[in-house]
Amino acid sequence: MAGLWTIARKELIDHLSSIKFIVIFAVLTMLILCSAYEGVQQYFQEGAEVFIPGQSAFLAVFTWGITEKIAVIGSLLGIAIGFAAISQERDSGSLITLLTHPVFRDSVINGKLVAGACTLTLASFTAIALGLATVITLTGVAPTGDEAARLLTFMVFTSLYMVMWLGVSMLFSVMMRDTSSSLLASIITWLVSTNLIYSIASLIANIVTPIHGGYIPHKEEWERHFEVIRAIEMFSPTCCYREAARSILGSAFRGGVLTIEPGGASTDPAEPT
Amino acid sequence: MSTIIDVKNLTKKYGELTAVDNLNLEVREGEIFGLLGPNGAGKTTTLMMLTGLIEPTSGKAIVAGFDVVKEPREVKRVTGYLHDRFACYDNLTAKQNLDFYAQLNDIPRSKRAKRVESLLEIVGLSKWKDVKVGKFSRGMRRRLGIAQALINEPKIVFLDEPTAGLDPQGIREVRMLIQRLCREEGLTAVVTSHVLPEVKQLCSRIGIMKDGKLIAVDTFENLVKQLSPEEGVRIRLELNKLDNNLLKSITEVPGVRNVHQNGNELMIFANHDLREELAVTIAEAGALILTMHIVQPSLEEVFLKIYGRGWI
Repeated sequence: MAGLWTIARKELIDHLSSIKFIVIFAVLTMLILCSAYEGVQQYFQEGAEVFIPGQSAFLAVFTWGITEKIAVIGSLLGIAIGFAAISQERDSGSLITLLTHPVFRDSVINGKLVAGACTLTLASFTAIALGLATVITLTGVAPTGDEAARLLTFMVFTSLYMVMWLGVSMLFSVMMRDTSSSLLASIITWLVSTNLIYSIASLIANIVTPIHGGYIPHKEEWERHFEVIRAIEMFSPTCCYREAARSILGSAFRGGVLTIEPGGASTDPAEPT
Repeated sequence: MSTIIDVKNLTKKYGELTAVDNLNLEVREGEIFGLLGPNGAGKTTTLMMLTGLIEPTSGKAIVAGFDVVKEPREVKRVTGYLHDRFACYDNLTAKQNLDFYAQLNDIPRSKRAKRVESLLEIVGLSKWKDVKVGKFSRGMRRRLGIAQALINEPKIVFLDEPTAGLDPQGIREVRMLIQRLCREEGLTAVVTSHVLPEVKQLCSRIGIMKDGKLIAVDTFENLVKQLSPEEGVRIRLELNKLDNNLLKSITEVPGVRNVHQNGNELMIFANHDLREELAVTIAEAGALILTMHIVQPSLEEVFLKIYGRGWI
């Protein structure tokens, strides 16, 4: 524990005053505000019917594409804070100076992780709260207790998702010799997780469970094929985050595309009319 | 004076390379010990082991009563270390940096500000205390490094090239600072340097390292004495007049090896101290001696000599 809180405090101040953080946080907030605004526009133009039956209209308006934006930009914010955490100090020589003082090596890493996690939690809560405020102001509708609870859970999960990326990039920062390698490794992981995983999943699924025809005559083949794809996608934190957000928010959005959940939806009492 | 650093058979290997080879050393309390040697001799590795930063491959080192392997944190509490690549946080001011290191050393809030201010005063950075370190010159960073090494009021301070990058005025100030701290506060200092005259002026004892081995440890005077039998003595003479006859009789004084003449000045290389014999010879020739003294070899000469023959 020695030195952990001292280091965490210093790092937190560093993060909140760094231009890198401010820029990415601004971009994230802008994107969230934009998607909240788009959702509201959609709501005014076409009414609640545009949304999927079974989902709360408020949540639907608010989460119009929001998950997707956090999945991509939020993870970048985590990487931006973590990729240089250790390697930059090692490059500059300040790490040795730090270690000449009575502090444990793991306190240095943990202190930085704590500070980064606080920063990201603050960022995600602030950005989402701003988006929420926009929706409430524009529509004049306030969330119900259930919706508020779901939103809070969503905020917590979003923070966890971003902290996960912080952890990944910090791991590379400890392992790699220099900061540029650490950044490169983090970006590759990020690309795989947010993007390439879909190609990789379908490639592997095509090899493991090949398809020999249309969906109707080969239904079982297709089901197995999808199962393999899903299983592989679960290796991607981004896919997991999308799944979690979908469950928490009751949203039918997936990867920015509307997908109808078979069953369940029509029986939901919260169905908008 | 009691032994404050006790090193026994300390060895550090990086794969095939032996950076420090079976080092044995004792440093006494309150002394300023100089570690000399070219780049790659193992000086920095030795200091890093003595401050508990890296673990030795084998051997033992007790620093201020603590084992560097078993109690590295206690060692860090009682030592200060200025690394040769010292760097701190460029985005913080000098004061903020020192305050951060003070916090790491658990210095209570009430004492922290005063300690930081007084250290900045000591190293001459008071004027720039609120300037970000990113704007500091190399010399100013070095001074901040020294302040950082003293933040925990250490018993022993390890200074790796403390004057690197400083101007002559700065070098003098740092030297006087180290000497004052050792004299007044009983601090023990281990200093490494390439600047040989500085080591001679600063250090009470000198250790010379080569290829990870400590090849000579003694005071400067004793190192010179050890070399003397073969090196001989150099005597500088200035006379009021000098003719060939006198030069010849000086050359013939028993024990004189060689004489270099430059006007009325002579540099005499002799087997031992011949000042009395020379004075008599010169007086007999009716000349007067204006100055006569023994010339000490420079540390550089001693250093190169010891190096040249791989003294053990």
